[in-house]
Amino acid sequence: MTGATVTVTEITKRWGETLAVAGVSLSAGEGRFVTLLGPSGCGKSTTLRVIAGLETVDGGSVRIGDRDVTRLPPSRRALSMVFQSYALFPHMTVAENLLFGLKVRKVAPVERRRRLTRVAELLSIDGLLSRKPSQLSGGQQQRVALGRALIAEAPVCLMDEPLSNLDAQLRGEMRREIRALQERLGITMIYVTHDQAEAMSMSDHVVLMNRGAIEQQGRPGDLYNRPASLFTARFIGSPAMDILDLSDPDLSRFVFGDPEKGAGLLLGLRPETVSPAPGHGLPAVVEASEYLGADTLLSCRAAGGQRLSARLPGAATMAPGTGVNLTWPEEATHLFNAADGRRRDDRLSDCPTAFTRARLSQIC
Amino acid sequence: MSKRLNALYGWLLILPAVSLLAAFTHLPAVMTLLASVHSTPRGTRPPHFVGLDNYRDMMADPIFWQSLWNNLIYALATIPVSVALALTMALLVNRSFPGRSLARLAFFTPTVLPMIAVANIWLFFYTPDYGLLDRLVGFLGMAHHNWLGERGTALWALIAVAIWKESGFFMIFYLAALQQIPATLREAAALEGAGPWTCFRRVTLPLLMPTTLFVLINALINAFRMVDHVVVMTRGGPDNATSLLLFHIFEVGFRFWDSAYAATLTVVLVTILSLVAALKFHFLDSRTHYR
Ligand SMILES: Nc1ncnc2c1ncn2[C@@H]1O[C@H](COP(=O)(O)OP(=O)(O)OP(=O)(O)O)[C@@H](O)[C@H]1O
Ligand SMILES: [Mg+2]
Repeated sequence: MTGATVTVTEITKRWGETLAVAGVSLSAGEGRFVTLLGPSGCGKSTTLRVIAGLETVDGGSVRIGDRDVTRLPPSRRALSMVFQSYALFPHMTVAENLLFGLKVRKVAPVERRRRLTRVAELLSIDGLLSRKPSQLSGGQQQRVALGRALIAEAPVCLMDEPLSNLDAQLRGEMRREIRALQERLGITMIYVTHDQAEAMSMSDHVVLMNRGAIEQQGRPGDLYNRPASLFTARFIGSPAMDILDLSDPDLSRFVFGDPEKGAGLLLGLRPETVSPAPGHGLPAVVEASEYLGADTLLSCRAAGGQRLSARLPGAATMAPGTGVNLTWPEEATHLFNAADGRRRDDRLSDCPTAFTRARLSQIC
Repeated sequence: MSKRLNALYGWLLILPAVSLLAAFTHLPAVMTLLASVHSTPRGTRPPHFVGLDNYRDMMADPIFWQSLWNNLIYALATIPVSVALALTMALLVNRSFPGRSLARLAFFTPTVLPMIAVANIWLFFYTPDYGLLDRLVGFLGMAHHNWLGERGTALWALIAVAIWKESGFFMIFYLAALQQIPATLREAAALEGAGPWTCFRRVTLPLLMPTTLFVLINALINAFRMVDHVVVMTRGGPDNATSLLLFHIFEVGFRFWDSAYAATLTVVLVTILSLVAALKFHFLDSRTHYR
């Protein structure tokens, strides 16, 4: 089993007045793991269902391998799908559920048995084959749904939030299993989730959607390190990036060495890049400290009342009201337009170097 | 003391229900059973015990056998056709298309009409020469018929009425059941390569099994219970060709005033219906609960 390339070009889908998907283009190469990520209602499921052929498009095209499948019914697109609700047939046993597609496609009985054994072993559901779905736990049902998608040996597999019904521990386990299976079998995966951590940990390529359009796509690291917009900056990363208003003269003076230069700009800082710098950082007051085990999250309020946090290793708790000076490396500075949220790397050159900043902060 | 008082309260509370049930269900049932082993009171002669004489008479009554036979044909023809029609209509109006509510209403209307009204409508359809059916048949160049007056067609004419009346009712059950089946199951089947027919046969139909069984058994009971259209349209004629079991009981009891024999026939009918009900509970409780 090897993957096939899926190419989606400029697809749009309307539901009456609402534009659920507005000109989405993306491509998933052979054997790649591509994730559609975004908040609820942004059009992830609709995009996936369009690829599956379960919804018709109002514009654009879908190609799988070298075929244009835009007008083909789901059964002729050579793909398998795991539904959020699993969609197991309640009147069939696990084995019948797994074999349903093979029987429909008239695969020979010998071959059917071979694949059943293999998939059942792969997912450790050998012991459950004669049970009905209602007699399985959520995690087991999930495995069966996964098995039904894998047994088809389709080159492309689609998954719509398959892990959202599972508890945290099982979810973590299944994430690793799905990823490992996908890599081992070499299938092309298009995976929908609204959980950014899931997307970051599993994917080769993340497509972040917002209100039916693609906000940004790239490798997980690209989205994390260079968010192209305020939306991406806020959505990716946990705890979320802090956004500070640079029209505040004090903050502007600290960042640019000039109280006017920051007008119309926003500053984004990831808590994990911010650290205390006794004597020469941005002056702030600790509001709360949250001990998370491996590290501690300090929530602070800078001059001008703006919030920012720092993630410190270990149990570095500080009493509320303590004054701290905070700083961050130059490459951790993210600048955005306040008006349209676009990233402004060009303005980074206006920032003084760390050395001069340290001096400046001592002056002010 | 308080325990006894409790028990007394309990009995007092269920007394109204129990007395109603006893007075209108249990007592008549027992009386019917008793009446069936006594003779019919005539004038000054009080009923006397006759043992199984009434049952022996019944076995020798050709009209009883004819009615039972008619009823069997009636059941075997109405049930499969009306259930299949109900399912087809439900599948048709379960999809979305403009005017769906109107189509549902149209299919359901016959059910809402009283049987007497339905019978009158069809009486017009079947009228020889002037009726809708004869006009249609005449238009196609075939001979006219007295649909309700000929032995060969009368029972089938009644069967058509029953199917017309019942299908819409059963459709409602199927429609409700279809809406319970998650759309993702059909989508999953489609992705697995199943066409509409395979999807219907392997997924939809099995999931409708409990409903089908429920509908089948209700149809069976109805087949022995409906009598209004016989009374209005044929009065059992011609030559008892359309006499159903319940109609025969009606005739014996209220035309010939032979109450003992009517009681005997009633016992037989109730026995048949009880068997059907037992079947219903057996199946509904055991086989179809796969969830
Ligand atoms: N069948 C439908 N009819 C009308 N509107 C729909 C339909 N399906 C989706 N929508 C609308 O399209 C938009 C996108 O829906 P979609 O299901 O793709 O969101 P999603 O990103 O999958 O969200 P979630 O994370 O909550 O599943 C939403 O505004 C939704 O209300
Ligand atoms: Mg969704």
